[in-house]
Amino acid sequence: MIVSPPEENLEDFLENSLSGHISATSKGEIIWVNRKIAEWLDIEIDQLIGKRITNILSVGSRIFYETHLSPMLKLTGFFEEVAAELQSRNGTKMQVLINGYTKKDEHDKSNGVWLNLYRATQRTVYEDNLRMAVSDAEKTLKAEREMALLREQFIAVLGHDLRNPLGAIKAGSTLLNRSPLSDRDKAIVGTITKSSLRMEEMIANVLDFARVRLGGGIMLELDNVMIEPVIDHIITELVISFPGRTVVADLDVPIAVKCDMSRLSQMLSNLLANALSHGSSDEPVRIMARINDNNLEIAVINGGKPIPEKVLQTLFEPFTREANTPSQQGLGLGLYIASQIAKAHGGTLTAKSNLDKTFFTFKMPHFID
Amino acid sequence: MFAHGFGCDQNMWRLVAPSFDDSHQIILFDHVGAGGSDLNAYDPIKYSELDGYARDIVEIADELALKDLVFVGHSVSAVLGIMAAAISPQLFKALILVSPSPCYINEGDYIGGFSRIEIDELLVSLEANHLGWSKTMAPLIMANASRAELSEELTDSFCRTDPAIARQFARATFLTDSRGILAECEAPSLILQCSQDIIAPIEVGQFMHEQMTNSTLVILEATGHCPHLSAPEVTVLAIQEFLQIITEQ
Repeated sequence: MIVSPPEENLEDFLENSLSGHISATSKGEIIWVNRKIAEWLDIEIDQLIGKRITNILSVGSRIFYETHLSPMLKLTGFFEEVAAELQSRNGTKMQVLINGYTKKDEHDKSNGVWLNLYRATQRTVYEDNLRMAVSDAEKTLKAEREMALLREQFIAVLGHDLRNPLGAIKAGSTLLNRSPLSDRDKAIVGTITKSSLRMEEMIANVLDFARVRLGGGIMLELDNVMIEPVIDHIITELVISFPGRTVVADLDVPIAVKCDMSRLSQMLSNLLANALSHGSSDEPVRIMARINDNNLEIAVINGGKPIPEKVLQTLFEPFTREANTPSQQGLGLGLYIASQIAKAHGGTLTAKSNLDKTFFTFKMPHFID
Repeated sequence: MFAHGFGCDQNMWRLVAPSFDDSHQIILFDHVGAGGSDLNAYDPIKYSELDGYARDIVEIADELALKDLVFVGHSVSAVLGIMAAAISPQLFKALILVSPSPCYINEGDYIGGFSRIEIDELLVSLEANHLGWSKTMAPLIMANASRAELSEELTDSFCRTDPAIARQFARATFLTDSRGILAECEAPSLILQCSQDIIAPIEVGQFMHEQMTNSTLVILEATGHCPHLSAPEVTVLAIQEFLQIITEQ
């Protein structure tokens, strides 16, 4: 059973509809509008009759109607959910969504156009807010990126420029050392030499950091290296700086390993120095090296207080100084660079800590040719 | 060769192009960013000015080794045709300029149809995407069985326009002043102007006709900006008559 509402109800429905309805000729001249349209445009209904549809649109929508919507009506017969802007005579604008279709007569010839308009002011505000949020986020991201780049460039330039005056200080202290000096002067020159070496190391770290962040990471010069003598040499060097401490080496790497010797030394020296300075002073630091399952594994183990879980999480990030004794530390780049060296070798550097021992483990793939 | 205007694609030539099938080889294309074009081919720098689109027309003609080209361009594409003819004059036998406009902005005595303020408003509303370009409105399937042959194609590509590209295209279209190159155009040209077109008013057609020495102006009894859709028969007739005349010459 088809139920049709009485005709006066339909008329009432259209007249008092919250949506706007327009009937126009196929050329786009308005034949009829409901009250809502006149209300929106703040104009009498009869003043709209005979006007063109484009007359009640803002300039953008007018052009869009002529270049896109009108062709759509001609070719496909309808369009749906098109955003547009009504413009009243005094210039006030209102966002709407329009559906439109072409009416056909019995010969399938177009004899007019129906348009249904829905107020879309809330929706437009919502869309505007979304758009603004997106553009704000993009701007912030861009600014942050630029800042980060600038910061890293600054670090690179600074590191580079610090080298020259430092070179002069080092050369000066070497020359002074050759002259006969009083004990007091000798002590001063010794301090200068030690400080400039420490500073040189920090600058090298800063430049490595900048290289990793700005360029393609740490570049390696790979060679077939016997690891054991390299480790022994590092131990000998470090024990001089930590008198009274013991390092127990347990090395079993009887074959050559493909790696960058100086980078690997840099990494191990850093790990070992950390273990010596942070580990408990009455226990030896152990260093173990093994080849197994196509992996080279080197572990540095020290006793003493565990590294807190929170610190472990960010240990390998740049500029994370370990707490308590900032003056003793460099820039907090050592472990970051060590982990980057591990990464460049296709390996990993991990840390774990329990109640009485702390382990730093370097692991890299090694394929026996 | 038929070139569509801003806001549409090659489908808009459906009612006109087939009439020339017997006498000519028909070439239809979508500008980059419109219809079925490859969006990856979009180069924001190349297409920031109309010249980029004009070079595409020359490239198509060169690639297909076309001779005696009759170029039919609608709206902004009419201007692109004039630009292409300036780059490679030997390619073109004739230019058919449908609802053309070399400059949309009024300036002094020149009537382009829009004030600078209105064009700025258009560009602002484009930035805010208020013009309803949306991919969701593209897949329109026709209910009308008598044109079912169209519907398959229409489902995925009819007049689809990439919103970001459309914005830049609009900027290039509505801010370019090409009045200066009109006088240099020597190709026989037919200017087809609609009697009631808010985008390219009659004055624009008259201005172009005065500037272009080898041009013919025909005012079509048609409303809107797309006579090839609203009045395809008279449009075809006007083009055929013009081609007849220049062939006889």
